[in-house]
Order: sequence, then structure tokens, then C-alpha cells
Amino acid sequence: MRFSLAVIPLILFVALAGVFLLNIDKDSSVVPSVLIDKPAPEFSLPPLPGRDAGLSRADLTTGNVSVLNVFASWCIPCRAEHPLIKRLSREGGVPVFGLNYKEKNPEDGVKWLAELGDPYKAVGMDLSGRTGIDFGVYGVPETFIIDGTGQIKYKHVGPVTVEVLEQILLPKIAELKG
Amino acid sequence: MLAELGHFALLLMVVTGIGQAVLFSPLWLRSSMRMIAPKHATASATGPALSDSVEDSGFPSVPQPANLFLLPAVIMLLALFVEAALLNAFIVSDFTLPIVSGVSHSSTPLLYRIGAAFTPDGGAMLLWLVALSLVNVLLAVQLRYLASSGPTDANDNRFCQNTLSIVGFLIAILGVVTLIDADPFLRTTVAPLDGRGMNPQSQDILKVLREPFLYLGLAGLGGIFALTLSGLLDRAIDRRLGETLRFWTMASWVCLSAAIALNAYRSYSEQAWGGWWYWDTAENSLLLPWLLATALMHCRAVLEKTETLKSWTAFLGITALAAGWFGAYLTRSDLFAPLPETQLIPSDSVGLLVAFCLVFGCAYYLFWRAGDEMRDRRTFDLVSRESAMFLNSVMLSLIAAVVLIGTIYPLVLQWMTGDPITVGAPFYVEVLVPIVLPLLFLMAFAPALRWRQDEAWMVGRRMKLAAILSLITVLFVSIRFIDLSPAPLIGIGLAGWVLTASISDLWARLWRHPEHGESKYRNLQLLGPRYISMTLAHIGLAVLIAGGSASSIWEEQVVVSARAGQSIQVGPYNLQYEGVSLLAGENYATRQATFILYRHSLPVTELFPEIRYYPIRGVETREADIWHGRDGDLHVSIGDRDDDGGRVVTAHYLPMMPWVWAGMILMLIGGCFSILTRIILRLKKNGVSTS
Amino acid sequence: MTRRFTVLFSTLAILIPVLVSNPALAVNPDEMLSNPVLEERAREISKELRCLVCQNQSIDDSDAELARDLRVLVRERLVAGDDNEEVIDYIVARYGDYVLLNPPLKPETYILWASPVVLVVLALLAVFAFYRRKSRDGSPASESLSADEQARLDELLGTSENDGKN
Repeated sequence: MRFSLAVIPLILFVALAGVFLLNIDKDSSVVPSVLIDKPAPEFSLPPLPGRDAGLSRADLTTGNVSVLNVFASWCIPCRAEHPLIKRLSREGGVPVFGLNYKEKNPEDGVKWLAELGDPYKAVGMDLSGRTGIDFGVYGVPETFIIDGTGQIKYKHVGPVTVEVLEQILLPKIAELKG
Repeated sequence: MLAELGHFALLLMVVTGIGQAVLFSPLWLRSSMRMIAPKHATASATGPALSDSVEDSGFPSVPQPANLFLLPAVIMLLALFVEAALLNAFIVSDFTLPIVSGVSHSSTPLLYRIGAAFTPDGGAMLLWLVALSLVNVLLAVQLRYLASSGPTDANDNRFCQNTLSIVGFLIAILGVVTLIDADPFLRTTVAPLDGRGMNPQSQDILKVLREPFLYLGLAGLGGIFALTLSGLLDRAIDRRLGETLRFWTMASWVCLSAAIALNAYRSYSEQAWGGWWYWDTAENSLLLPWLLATALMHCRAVLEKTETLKSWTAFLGITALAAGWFGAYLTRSDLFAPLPETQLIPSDSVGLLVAFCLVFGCAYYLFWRAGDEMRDRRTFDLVSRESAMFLNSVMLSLIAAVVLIGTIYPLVLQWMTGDPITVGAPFYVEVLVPIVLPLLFLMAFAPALRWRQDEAWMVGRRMKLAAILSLITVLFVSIRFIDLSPAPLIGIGLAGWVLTASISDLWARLWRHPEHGESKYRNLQLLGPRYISMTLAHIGLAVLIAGGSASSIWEEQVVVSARAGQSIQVGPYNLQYEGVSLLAGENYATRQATFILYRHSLPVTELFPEIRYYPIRGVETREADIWHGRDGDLHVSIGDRDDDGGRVVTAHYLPMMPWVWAGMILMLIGGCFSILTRIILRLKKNGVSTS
Repeated sequence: MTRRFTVLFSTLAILIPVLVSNPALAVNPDEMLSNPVLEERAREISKELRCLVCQNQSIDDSDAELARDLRVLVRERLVAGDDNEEVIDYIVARYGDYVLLNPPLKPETYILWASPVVLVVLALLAVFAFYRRKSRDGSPASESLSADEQARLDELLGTSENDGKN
């Protein structure tokens, strides 16, 4: 068999098809955060109306692993994941903090929590969305796992599902707690 | 009930497709066998036609040309029935079908209920199948016709059956993919009360029309693929194949161009800033097959004329469909969905990818084996029309390759390293401009060059006028607007170069001294449909590029917070804002602003940009309103009310923007003209020969 | 029909003030800076940054909420005295290279940036070889060779070479 240039398309095709077939079950629709293994940004947020404690970076650096959940009352997937956040708060054994992202009306977040239940240890209200940007938030809901020193260890974009909770978040938290 | 029948018909269609692939294939199998064991081929190489015709008589099951139509016709009817069943489910809003409840709603207007049927995976695949079954029938007609019009031999018969067998195989495999990936006729036991509604961004007549054109184009590429492949099986990538491919390349090109034009105009009319191309995945995967179809169109002409560039034509014939298919996979799969919300409807289109690998793995393997045996002689000089067409197809393929790399690179990189990057418009512009500019430069030579060989100085003499005129254009523009960036300037200059070259050549041909005893009208006839459609398409592209470059240079944008009665000056126009009224559309509420457009203080027209609110999805869309003036578009859109009670108004004046749309239309007219004249000529010839 | 319109209309008229968020049109007047030089720079930077939730649109073009926040942020950084580089770095530090519409030159993107050049060079070589093949025997292309000459030529030159390079 002589070498022929006619084989080039076949080689290129096989390479392309191979790359796509091998990666068929990888999820590429989520943009990984650049903040993984970096310290959480400095922030200090006011409390929800009628509550005393807001949320600041100090809450995340108490030596305990913690979870930060970004939510908003206008976000429909947040409503879907809320029961699981409650479960996380019950079963995870770590404090779950809430970042109430860009409410139109400061009262909305309070009403939403009153209606659905409040799993959060403390909630900070980010009306301007600036703290969200510092955390690299681009689609609510997002869930961060932060270690005791305030380093971001994991970020989940999109609603938490049962699989995500059981197969990723809880094991990750257990691992970090060591 | 109809849905179940549709489901059954789809299944039956797959079976019939397999039937067509197998029934026509004894010959196909044999040629494949010959390919795998090439010794046979050399043994019978002295007289393949003779030996085959002898062997053929041993296959009584091989369908004769007369009943060639049976299976394609059955498939076509089944496909139409399946599509009708699906459309019926959408029209009557049968929410027991998840496909309907996912993208439709009882309050969606009829037009968009039909349009919604094309958007989900299952519906889109079905549309592709319907288009492919149409191609199947047309191919059978065409091949039958070719066989009856010329001297027939066993080769023709075999070619015809191989082709139909391959199309049957494509139909079967796409049918199976549809059933596996996204079966449109699955029912749920518990039907929701109402659907989730159609994506408001797609609720537009242009978006609805885009889908059939796209899939017709892809199906046309499927026809090209089948013809090329059976040519390869016969080692007969020859003049006749070139001729047969002519209709299919033109038809697919026209459909894909139409899809691109519709897509571009839709983006233009819903954006606040008058952009019409973003280089996103959906657009790139439209552009890829279009570029390759354009390349194929050019080298096919060389193949038909001189029987050279065989393997290059065959390669493009296969790759055009590969690009279209891969593009369909990229847009259909969830690979590029950045929004968490869209993950609620997961669909990975694995079947489409696997089928893609299977089909094109075989095709490229065949290409390799056949390419080994195809001798390709160059029979034209560097300075010749063939040469220009060949180089053109090479450059178009280069552009396609770059677009493909830009599209999949972020994905592959993220798989390999986990590092996400974006390849956006700035990359494409930087990288493609150096390839597009020489392409435009060469394009102008096309009409002035002779076939086979030509003298450079003769060409120079023919191009003199065009060169001078375009230089003057560039000089004038660059002196007049000294501070411009060079790229759009060169764009305008080259567009002028193509334009003047095409027009001056046309002019010279039209006013050529008529032969003795002939009228001037004869000159027009002598031009021929090919020449006219080429000139139309080239002028169209030049006009498009001139318009695009000019509007990017001289665009004017005004963003103000306007109050009722306020007048906004933009370009040569004056927009008077009258206020916003709240109106109800059929399934949306809209805040519609009224503007009166003045030019030189004379009212020209009224414009009504809107913000629509679709309560079912809870989504807002913006509809800009556009006035296409003599010298430019006026593009106006509204935003929200700002804190002190004004309304945000964005007005753009885009000079020469109508040229972009006119250019696209000219290219389309050129393509349609070519197809229509071809068909008419054929029918005429047929009429003469039979009478 | 009109009845349905009226019903729909009245429902919507009530719903809209409640439901409709305040959307942002790309570059609102209240975002714009009074200093035209700074505003021009802000537009320039915005055109380079991707709206994360859209497909390949820049934040300058996008109506999305996040794009608006980022536009405002860009302007704030400019007013605070950052130069263009610093503003872009500020955003990249939060969202990664993903926000850059023009991919930066770094080891991961060498192949991306090199590929067009490599492809053009390969195509040039192939085209050159294609034209060189025939000119060697010096005869004009239109004159066909005798069968023997052709067979010998084919043998000398190997097989076809103008096939697919993609």
C-alpha cells in the first residue's frame, strides 16, 4: 500500500470523532470558577429587613467548613432547589449561609424565606449584585463550599438536585471536615 | 391516535429506508467488495461495463428503472404523514405528548404552534427526514431522467441504484436517531394542563421559516453526498457526475443562503444595536455547510468542464454534509448551553453523534480507497478560469476550517484542561480578514478569465477599467475619511473592485458588436444563464461587503432618555418620540412606542419599536423597528423607563445597511435564476427531443 | 376573538406592573459617563468582554442583567482611575479568561492562534505543488499527453495530491 494524501481526511475525521466520542458524557455547559482554591473575596453585606445579623467574610473564616448558597426570590430554579438546601443544612453538619442576590425589593427575600422556610444560618442582602460579581456568580442559584480558612473549595452552578447533593456536595463537605 | 399512527409510520419509514438501502444494494455491495479486494477491479478493469452488464442479468431482484420510484414515493408519503401527525398534535395542542407541552401552549398563535413543531430535537430531525425524503424522490426522478435521455448502460443503472441505496441508508439511520434520541411521539400518562410555551425569541416568522430552509439545505447536501459516494464506488468522479451535482449544489446553496439571510435579519431586528452576526455556535454551524457548498459549487463547475479536481470535488461533496451534520449536532446537543435554566431539558443527542461517526467514517474510508485509484490530471494553466475557481474553493474551505476550529476549540480545551475560554467575534475578524481579502481580490477576475489558459497581460487589459475605478474609490474614501481603520477601507475598496469588474465585463459583453444579421438582443442571450447567475451572485457579495464595511464605519448611535414629544437627531433623520402605549398581542402584552420619522423636516414614516412581554414564559423580548431608507437604515428600539420618567431610546443610523440586505437578495436571486433556467432549458430540450 | 383579547389584555395589564422586571437595554443613558473620553474607553472595553449568560455576545450588546452590572462596574473602575488593562484584569480575576471574547495568547491557545497560519501555509504548499506538477514537462496544459507519457508521468509523480486538506 502506497501512502496517499487521500487518507488525510480520514485521519482528521477519526481524530475529531474520537475527541467528541470520548468526551460524550462530560458536562461542558458549566463554566468552572477561577476562584477555586482561592480565598473568598472580602465582603460585608447588610441583613435582610427586620433581621439583626448580615453576612461578611468573617462568617466564613471561623475554622468551620461552610456553604454559601446564592439565591433570589425571582429565580425559579431556586424555588426548586430550596428543599434540598434545607436538607443540606440539616444533614451536612455545617453552617449554610445565604446570599440574597439582586432582589428588586428588599422585602422580597424575607417573604420568600417566610413562605418556604429558612435553612440559612445568616443571610446577606446583595442588592447591587456587586458581591455576586466578586464571587464570579453568573447564574443564580449557585452554591459554594468554603473551608475553614475562607478558601473556596467547590462551586456548583444551577439548581442543586438530589444527585448533586448526595454524590457531590455532601461527600465534598465530609472530606473537607476530614 | 394520530400520534400513534405517526409513530408507526415513522417506524415504517425506517424499515422502508432500510428496504431501499438493501434492495438497491446488491450492486453496491459488489462494488464495495471490489473495493475491499481491488484485485477483482484490475481483473475486470478492461471492460467493467461489459462484465457488469453480463453479471447484472444474474440478479433478477434488482429493481429496473421503471419501478425505481416505488420505494422513494412510499417513503415520501410516510414522511409527509409523520410530519402531518406531528403538526396535528401541535395544532390541536395535544399536551399528552411531552414534545408539545415542552415548547407550545394553548394560547400560542397557530403560526407559532406550527413553528414550535420545528424547534425541539424530535421535530427538527423529522423536518430533516421529510426534506431528505423529498431529495430521495427528486434524485430518483433526476437519475431516471438522465438514464432515459442519454444512452444507457449498466453503469448508469448501477450508479443510480447505488445513489438511491445510500440515500435510503441515510433516511434509515436518521430515522433511527430520531427514534432513539428524541422520539417525538412518546406520550406521558399524566398530561400537564397546559404547555410551557414556545420560546418567545423564536416567535417570529423569519425564525419559523429558517428551519425548513436549513433542513432542505442539509438534505440537499445529503443528495450530494450520496451522488459523490456512488461516484467514488464506481471510480467515476467525472463530467457527468459534475453535471448531475449541478442542481443539487445550487439548490442546497440557495436554501442555506436563505437560512443564513433569515437568521441575520432576525438578529438585526431584535437587537438594540443593529448587529446581525455574532459568530455563535448556531450561526457558525449554519455558516460551515454554506461555505463548503459554495466551495463545492465552484470546483464542481471545473469538474464538469474539464474533468479535473476529481478528488477535491469528492472531498468537498462528502465534507459539506459532514459539516452540516456536525453543526446540527453542535446546536442540538447541550454542549454550548451557558444558562442553568436550559439544563432543565437535557438532551445530549448522542445518537446523532454516533451516526455521524459511522456514516462519515465509512465515507472517508471509501474516499481514501477510491482516491488511491483516481488519477487526477491538471488540464488548465495557472492563469485560467478553472484556476480562479479552484483557488476560490481552496480559500473557502480554509475559511470553513478556521471557523470550525474556532467553534470547537473552547469545547475541546475545556475537556482537555478544564480551562474555559471564549472564541468571539474579534478572533474571527482578525483571523479571517487576511483570507477573505485575497478571496475578494481573486473573485473579480472570474468573469474576465478564459477557460483552460489565458494570458496575464490580456487579463490585465480586460481588467484595466475596473482597476482604475476601484483605485479611485479607495483613494476618494481614504482621503475623504483619513482617520479610518484600514480593514473596512480595504473591504470597501475590494468590494468596489469586484463590483466594477463584474459590471464592466457585463457591459462589454452586452455592447459587443453583434454578428452580421443579428440583433443586439442576441448579446443578452449569448451571455447564458450561468454567466448571469454568477455575475448576480458576485455583485451581490460585493454589495453585501461594501454595505457591511460602510455601515460599520459610519454608523451613528444615539442613546437618550426621551420624553413624549422630544425630538432625537440621528444621521440625516429626526425622530420624534410620541409616547408608549400598552397593547395586547395574541399571546403577549406589548409596550409599543410611536416615533415619527422626519427627514429634512418632512415626515417619512412612523416607527413602532416594542418591548413584548410573554406571560407564559415570563420573558421579555425587544422588537426594534427599522426604516430602510435610500442611503441607510434607521434602527430604533426602546428600553425601560428610567428613574426620572423618561424612556430609554436607542437609535442607530446605519448608512448603506440596505446594501447588506440587497446583496443577500441578489445572491439568492442569482442562485434561483440558475436553477430555474436550468430546469426550463431541460424541459424545453426534452420537449424537442420527444416531439 | 376580541373578547379574548380584552380578557387577556386586562389580565396582563394587571400582571405587568407586578411581574415585569426592569430590563436593561444595552448601554442605558443613566449608565453612561459624562466624560466622553472615559465613555469611549468604557465602550471599547465592553466590546471585548463576553456576556457570560449569552452566546458570544459582548456585554456592550447584551440586555442581560449581569451584562448591565458589568458595564456599570467597568465604568466605575475607569472613574476610579484604572487603565483599560487593569479593568479587564479586574473582571478576568473574577470570571476567568472565559469573559474575553478575544482569547488571550497563552500556552493553551497557541494551537488556536497558530492553526490559521498553519492551514494557510499548508494550503499554499498544496496549491504550489499542484501547479508545479504539470509545468515541469513544459508543455501547455491544454495539449494532452499520449497515453504512454501520461502513465509514465503518473508513475513518477505518485498519486493525486490536491485532495482534502481541511
